[in-house]
Amino acid sequence: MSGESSPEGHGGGWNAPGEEPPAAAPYSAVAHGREGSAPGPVAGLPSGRPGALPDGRPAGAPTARARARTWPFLASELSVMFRRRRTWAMLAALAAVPVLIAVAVRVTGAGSGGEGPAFLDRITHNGLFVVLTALVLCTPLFLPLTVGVVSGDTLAGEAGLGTLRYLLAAPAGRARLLLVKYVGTAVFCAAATSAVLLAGTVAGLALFPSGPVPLLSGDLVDVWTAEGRIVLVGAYVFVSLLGLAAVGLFISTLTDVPVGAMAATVVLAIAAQVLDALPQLDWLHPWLFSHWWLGFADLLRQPVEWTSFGNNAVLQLGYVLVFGALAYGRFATKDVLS
Amino acid sequence: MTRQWIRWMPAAAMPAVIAAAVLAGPLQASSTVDLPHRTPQQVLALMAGNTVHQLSGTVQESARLGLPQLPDLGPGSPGQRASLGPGASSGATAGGTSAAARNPLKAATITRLLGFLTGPHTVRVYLDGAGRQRVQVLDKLAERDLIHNGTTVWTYNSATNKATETTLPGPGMRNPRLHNAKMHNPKLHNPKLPRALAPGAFEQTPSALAAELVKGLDPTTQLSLGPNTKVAKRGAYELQLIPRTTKTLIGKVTIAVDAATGLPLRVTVTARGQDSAAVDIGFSTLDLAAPPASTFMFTPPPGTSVTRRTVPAPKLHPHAVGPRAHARTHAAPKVDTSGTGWAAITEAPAGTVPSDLTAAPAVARLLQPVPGGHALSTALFTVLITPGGALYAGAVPLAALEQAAAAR
Repeated sequence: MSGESSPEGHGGGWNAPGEEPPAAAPYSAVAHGREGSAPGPVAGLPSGRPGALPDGRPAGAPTARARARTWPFLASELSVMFRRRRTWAMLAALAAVPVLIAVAVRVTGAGSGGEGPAFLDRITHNGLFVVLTALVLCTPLFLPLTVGVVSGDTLAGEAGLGTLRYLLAAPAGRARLLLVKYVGTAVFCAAATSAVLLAGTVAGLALFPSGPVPLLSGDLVDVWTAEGRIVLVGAYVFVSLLGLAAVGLFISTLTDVPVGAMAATVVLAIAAQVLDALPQLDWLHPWLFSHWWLGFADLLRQPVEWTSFGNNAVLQLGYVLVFGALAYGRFATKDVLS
Repeated sequence: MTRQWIRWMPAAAMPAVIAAAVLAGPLQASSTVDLPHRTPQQVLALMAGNTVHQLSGTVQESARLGLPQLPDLGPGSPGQRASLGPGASSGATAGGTSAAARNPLKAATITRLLGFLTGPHTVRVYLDGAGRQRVQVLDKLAERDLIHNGTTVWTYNSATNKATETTLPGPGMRNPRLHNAKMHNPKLHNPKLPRALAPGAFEQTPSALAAELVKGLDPTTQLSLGPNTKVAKRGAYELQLIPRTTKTLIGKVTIAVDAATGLPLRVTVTARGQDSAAVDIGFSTLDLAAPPASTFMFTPPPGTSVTRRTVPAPKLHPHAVGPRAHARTHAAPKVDTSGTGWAAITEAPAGTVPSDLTAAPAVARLLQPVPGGHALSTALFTVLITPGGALYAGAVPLAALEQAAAAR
């Protein structure tokens, strides 16, 4: 953090918003390094990165023009993220969870009632329960793990590779960079949830019979209603991850070591769940971002119990606001030296 | 320098905004609720004359009795069933109403009850007349349902995927005394319903509990009205029942009575010397419109193991509810009472408690060995089991029970 006595124009001062950025050439060179495993020469990079104008013309910062560039900026961020092998490896690992469950149950037969994770014993009767079993397994551990990796990497990763100052060299503004990074993480949250949902639905319907689905209340609903409920559950899980993504973004502004930020985020996710399991701390439970994670079962009751969806959404919004503001405070006052 | 400070402003402002939003809720709730003035007796009469036949609502139950929080001990808990052995579980699940009434001190009944006493629960209640009820206990990733429609009562447990269908005697065979009582005093709980079918949930609606608490009102209780409150967005009078004796563990009981209908909306029981309630059962949402008819229809989903049975004839058994009365109800066969009012001690003779009860792991975790046997001490009531199987229970300190046991 920049001390109160830190003179302007030194250190962090040179890349303050509105000042003339360096020429495009160094940006491209470093950006190439940043791509890492991404194929293709510099020319293949998205040219939407502010400041990377082809003619090297310093991009001015009138608000309208800057706003117009947010979407290309986000598109560039997403294309960088989804061209990384790591992203696809994580999505594949998540998709493998329901597939493994489906294959294991298909090969060994269902366990007796009430054993194993929730919904496991229902799979042989109805393939759609593969998705729900997978979400019960993924929500406490695998999904937070991948979100921790992505959100912890957002700024610390750029800083670690030395590309952060070039991103800031553009007149994009630090707030907008934060926003783009957060939206990128949120898109990954959606992709991760969808991976589990899609793989689970496909594997479940391919290996097991489908038909009317019994809800938790014992009422039967047809397949399409059930699929609608499952999409709602997916939306619930997606919303559940947004708070953790904001926490990860904040931790990522604290350090230049991406692995540290990732680990800290994942450890926080685990610690929150451990605290949530201690009855002595029940006054704290409603404030833990993981408190409502498994509440998606309330969407599988008849009639739907919306309370937990609402509570979860409000809680996650609170985390996004608080940790988003903290991340802004930290990042906007930070000396970016790498 | 100034700019640095400004950039931290949102981070400082956000928690303040959230704190303000969180604090605004209770402030709004505690703002005065304008209701016509009534005396405590008038509120009691209002409550006794409530005519609510139809409702759907969510009941929040929480109990802080100082017991260790157990994993859910509902009927569906498979580990529980196994650890208690076959003899213990038969009384509550297969024997139905008669078995539960004859020897209610089966370990499974007790542990099931304790499951309700040690953790918070959310229960959805649907009611349409006396003959149609549905109760849903919302567990984590599971649900227990009770659907009562006319002469058919279903229970369903999604964790074990087991269902029970019980056929009650037809309307023509109804006990007329019971029938009349229900007509004149329609309460949420149906006296005809076998209690073994409703694992605690049914009896723990605020209405049933409140009816039970005011039943024994006598001069040992100081009756007053607290400030009007809002429960489930409805204006309510708050009856306060304070025991005049200091020999009981119970410090205060409050009953929030809906000003419009007289329906009890919330019951809290506070231990002597405590500020926060030990038992708090109240509606969080309430809708007095009739629930859709489909709510009371039930067909067990495919793959469910279904048990069917028929109840021969309705039978009236005492429905004492609440911490004060649990032990007394369950010791129904040959009980004796000493003391009066809030400090009453229920005594059941030797041999009442099956020997496997104190050995059952779930129960043993709660009991503490004391000189006179085994004791269960909670914030609101105490149970003493002597080595001979006699049972003493009451809303009194352990010393009073030991005294009663020694006097025998």
